[in-house]
Amino acid sequence: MSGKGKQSSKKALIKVREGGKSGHLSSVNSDTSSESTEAAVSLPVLKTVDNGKHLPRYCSILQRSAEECVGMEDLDTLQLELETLLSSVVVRCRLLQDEITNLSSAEERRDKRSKSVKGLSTLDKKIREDKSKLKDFSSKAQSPLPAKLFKQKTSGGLASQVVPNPHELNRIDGSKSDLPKLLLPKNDTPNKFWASVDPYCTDIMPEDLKLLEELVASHSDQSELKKIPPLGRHYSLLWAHNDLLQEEDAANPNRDKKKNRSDVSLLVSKVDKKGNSIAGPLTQRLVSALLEENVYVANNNMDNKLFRDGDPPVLRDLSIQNSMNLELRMHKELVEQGILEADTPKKNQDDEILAEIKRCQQELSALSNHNVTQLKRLLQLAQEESKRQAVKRKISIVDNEVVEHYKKLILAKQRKVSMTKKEQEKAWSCLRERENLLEHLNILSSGSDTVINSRNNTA
Amino acid sequence: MLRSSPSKMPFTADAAAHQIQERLKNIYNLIFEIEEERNRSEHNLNNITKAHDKITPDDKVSPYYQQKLKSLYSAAVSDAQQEEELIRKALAKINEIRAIRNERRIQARNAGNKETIRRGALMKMLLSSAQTLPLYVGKSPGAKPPPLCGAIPAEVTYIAKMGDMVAALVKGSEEEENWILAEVVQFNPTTSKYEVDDIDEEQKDRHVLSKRRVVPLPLMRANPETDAHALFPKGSIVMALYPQTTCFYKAVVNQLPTTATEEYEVLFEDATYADGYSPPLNVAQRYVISIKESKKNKSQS
Repeated sequence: MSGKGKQSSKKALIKVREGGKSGHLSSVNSDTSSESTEAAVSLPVLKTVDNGKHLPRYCSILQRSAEECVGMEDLDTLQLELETLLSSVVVRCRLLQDEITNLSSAEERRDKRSKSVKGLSTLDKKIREDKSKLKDFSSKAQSPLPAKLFKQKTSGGLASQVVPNPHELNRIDGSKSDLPKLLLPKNDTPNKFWASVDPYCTDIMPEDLKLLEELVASHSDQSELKKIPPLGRHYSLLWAHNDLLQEEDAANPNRDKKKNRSDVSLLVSKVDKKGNSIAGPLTQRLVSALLEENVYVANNNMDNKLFRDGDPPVLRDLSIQNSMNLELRMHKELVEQGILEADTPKKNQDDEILAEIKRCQQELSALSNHNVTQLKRLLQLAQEESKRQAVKRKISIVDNEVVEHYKKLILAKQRKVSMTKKEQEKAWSCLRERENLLEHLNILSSGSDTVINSRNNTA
Repeated sequence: MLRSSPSKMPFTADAAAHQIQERLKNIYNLIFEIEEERNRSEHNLNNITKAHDKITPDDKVSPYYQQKLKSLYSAAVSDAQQEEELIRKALAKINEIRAIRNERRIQARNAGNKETIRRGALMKMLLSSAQTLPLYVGKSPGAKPPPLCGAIPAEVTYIAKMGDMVAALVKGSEEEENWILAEVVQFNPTTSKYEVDDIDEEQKDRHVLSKRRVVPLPLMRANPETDAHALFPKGSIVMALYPQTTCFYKAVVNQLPTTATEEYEVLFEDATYADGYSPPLNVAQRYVISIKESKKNKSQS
């Protein structure tokens, strides 16, 4: 009992070798190591031709007449053979379905890619070409199973050729391992890599320089960032209103809230009506500081008169149309009274939000300055590089000429005809020009190096 | 499902023979249909081969060929499905025949004419019944294998049927307990106890055991090629029938079967060996089961 399953599979394996159908009997041929890996990539097909070999009972039943039919003694073997068939057919079915999904997904990916290629700008024509090349490679690579199938098919085809002796067979078996290499899909990773690197290595075009210049210009203008909008209605009015409410509540906790509110809104609307413009921060503060008294006053005066006759002139100024005027006067008055110091107004004017805005502006302008310097540096480098590229292009033209001259020279030597003086002179001049250009290039690149170095030093 | 169908049939020897004969004829016809289908499949598969050969030289699959391959594959898939269905039918017929014969055997036993088998014949019978246990081949790759297929245990409420093979925990002569191979005689639902026969005729014992001392053996083999997830993983602790005995012992799965006909390779816990384990031994899927050790110990104490 022990090892019986093993033995049978090994036997079958030998059978397979004899028949040279290694690809077709994975269901039996899956013992260990190399055999099993080979079986894993194959499409299990039990060929009808090999019925006698793999399915002897099944085969013999096929040859029986209807009277002979199937006997009880056939059942055990027949069951196993049918199960082998079932397993192989199900495995084949699943492999094929996998294969179909692979193909479909490869198609989908290709569709997606072609769409994205369309979306690319005209500047990237070169990349696009590369990508379309890539596309073919990758669609190939994305469907590894066909390769597997090819492998199996071809190896099966090779092995099924009539082989006279076992030694010959072994040789073919050995060579099989080499075969798949030829059939492997091309490795497209280098292509992908170069395509991705390509944009970084291409020549700098005049468009690129133009783009950089535009960027520098657009970033240099910082005036837009420095604008601080005036206080909006929300902050100037609503906050003042809220402040008033709070102060009032704190001062007169027992008061009826409804009345309270109406008083305050009355007050604010009055100020609004009178000033028709927003009171300055100093005024607002002062008003809120004096509010308790004011409200009290307002309450007592049935005619809603805001100020008593005995009030100091500063309070009377609350009715002055120009609130900025009031603000200034207030400031002056406060300084005179010794409540405010002369240099504090600036601080007073800076509220929280303004401070935050200024802080952000500072950060922003620092960042912007940095960007501009970087852009300028990039532009300079690009300009130098484009100069170098121009020289390089010239050099390559001259290179070609030199090569041509060399070819002519070789040809002449082969024919044993000496070159004409003119030609020789031309060749020499070409060489000299090339040397000059190379020197020029050297100077240029060393010059740019020093530029970079000096920049690094300053940074 | 197949096992239950014969119970509705009359079981005179003649009727059984007639039913079996009918099914044998069915199988005969099905085999011809299968062959026909296989020829058809082969035609398509050859086309695929040809297509592959055409593509291989330039090592590039153009969209046109991808489409072509796809349609070829689809055709091959539908062929394969037809073939699969026919083979399943034929196998179902074979199972029916086995079920009918099993019913007959149980009937005969209940009638009192119990055939006595020698030990050698018994071992052979155990082996062949393990080999011909129906093979489960999932219809789709992710299909959940049914209970009692391979390593999948029975549902908690499952009651083994009359004539089913089980592992039964019985007390031996010296208060020792053993998991033996046994056959269900009947289940008493009121006491929730099984009556089982030791498979070894020489013992001639009939045991009455509570449900938790009876573990039904798998009713189907799992196909390693399509449903490997229904097998015990390597290294799992199982109870396995020790070769040439009718007792189950604790063992570690050492190697899984790779084909439907192969067996597990297990290492039995055996104190007589230096490392505590027997050398690798092969045990059929049918005789490898999982037993919850802790529960069993609790029930024992």
